[in-house]
Amino acid sequence: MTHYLSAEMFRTVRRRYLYWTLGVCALVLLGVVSLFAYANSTIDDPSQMAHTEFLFLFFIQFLPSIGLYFTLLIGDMTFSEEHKVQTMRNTLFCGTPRITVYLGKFINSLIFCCIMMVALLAVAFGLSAVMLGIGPEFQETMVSFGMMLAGCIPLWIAGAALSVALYSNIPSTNLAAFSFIGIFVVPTSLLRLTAFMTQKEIFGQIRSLLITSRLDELAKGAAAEDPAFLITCWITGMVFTAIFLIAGYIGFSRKEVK
Amino acid sequence: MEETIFSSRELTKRYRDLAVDHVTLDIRPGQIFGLVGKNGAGKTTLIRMITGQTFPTSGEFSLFGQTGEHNLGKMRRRIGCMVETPSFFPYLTAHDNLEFYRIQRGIPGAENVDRLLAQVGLADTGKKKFKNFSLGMKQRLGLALALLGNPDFLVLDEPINGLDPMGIVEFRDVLLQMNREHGTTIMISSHILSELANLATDFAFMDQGRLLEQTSAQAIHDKCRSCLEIRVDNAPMAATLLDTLGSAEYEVLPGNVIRLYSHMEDPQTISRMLVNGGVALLSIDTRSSNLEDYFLNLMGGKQA
Repeated sequence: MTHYLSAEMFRTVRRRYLYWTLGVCALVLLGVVSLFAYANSTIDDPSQMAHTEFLFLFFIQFLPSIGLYFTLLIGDMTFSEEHKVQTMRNTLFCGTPRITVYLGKFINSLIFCCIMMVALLAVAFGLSAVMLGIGPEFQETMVSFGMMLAGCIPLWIAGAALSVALYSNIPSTNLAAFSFIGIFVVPTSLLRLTAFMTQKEIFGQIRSLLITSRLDELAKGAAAEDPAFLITCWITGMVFTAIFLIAGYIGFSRKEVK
Repeated sequence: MEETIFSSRELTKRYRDLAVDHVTLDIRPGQIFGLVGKNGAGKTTLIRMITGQTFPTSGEFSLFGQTGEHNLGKMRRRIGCMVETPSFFPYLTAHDNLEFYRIQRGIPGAENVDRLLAQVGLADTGKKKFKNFSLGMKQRLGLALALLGNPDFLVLDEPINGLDPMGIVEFRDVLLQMNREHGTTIMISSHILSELANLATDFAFMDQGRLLEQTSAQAIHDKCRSCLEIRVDNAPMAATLLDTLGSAEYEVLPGNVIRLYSHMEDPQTISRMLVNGGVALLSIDTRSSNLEDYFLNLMGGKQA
């Protein structure tokens, strides 16, 4: 596994895809921070100005969902050529167990998700600290942000597990990406609709157990309001991670590799 | 030393149709084993089962005497493979592609990568990315990957497609060197039968998933050797006359055809002797066949 992971990292850091993604995300962050800085320049009252904590409050609302779909991007980064140019067979030829390949891809995805997330948060913090400055509510906001992050991590891990499960079994990366979005979006919408039409609470309760619902709650600040909510996020995340990993491996273990 | 490197018993793979149909085959240490068959004969599917890309529907096979998926996985570490067109990461150089697989397989010694690249003639590709390689260069890199880690068993599927004549000669030399110096067993499938004839010590012929014949190159050579093919009106009488030559080596085939494997240097004397002995000589031709003729004959005259 160590050799497999080392090789995966050797390859991933040599892809332009990684640096393009980081670059584009950093530019978007620069755009957002610049927008806040421009807004600040039009305000005369210093108490109304947006500081770094404003950006992180903004993140609390949007990062949970963005992070989930970010795992799809990292999955694509890890898998795309394996199907497109059929490099997976070179790995299987030499007797690398399929479980090593599967878990190796998953762990590699997690490692690069962490690296990119840390890099982008550092860029966001750096840009905003320089361009917007630190305000009086910085500490309080960062605690809320940290709580949100603590709740999101297991749910994002489940996202990475689904991404690996789909990419390892579906040869078309586009189809795998659509399936990923479908698996998260469709059940939530269907349960919401069913709950509305039947007026039965059970459907709402089931919906609240889904990853997307947990992320929605985190975006509304549920973790800061009730730290116990974090435990339910971790349970949900770990259960879905196990389900996605096992289901994906059952398919991959018998899959014909061209 | 293992008794067999690869051995299959009733090995079968079914998709919609039978791709490999109850194949029983043995490959022994040191053999260079030519796998011959038309497109769709089942060669690549058989190789894919050996390499772990797909799984048998029924039957079983062993590698180095070991069976079971777990053991087969371990034994595959002793195999080098090249199946169809080599696949590598397009944005990496030849060196980085090989280095990736060296790290992945835990093979010590980064200098092995440079040595292998030099061995296959890719030492000076520098920063050229794989996506910009010619087909011949891709084949060479595929061979380098197959040789990575000094495998005991090389499995090569159509490895010389796209190689120029010089490349084919170099490729053959590398394989023969591996076989002679390291005792590497080689399984090679190719449509270029003349090239296989130069390499293989043993052959298996496949058609529609079935193994038609497993034989040695020597046996094929014996069957394909040059002869005088004599068509007469009375083969038994002609045979009696040939016996008077003392050392005549011949066989009588149906249709009053005699194949004479000796005295080939003097067909005039043979024809004069037969005519003088009262045998009507309908035709006399020098016949020489090769692996291609043998294969076509085995396939019933169908084109490969």
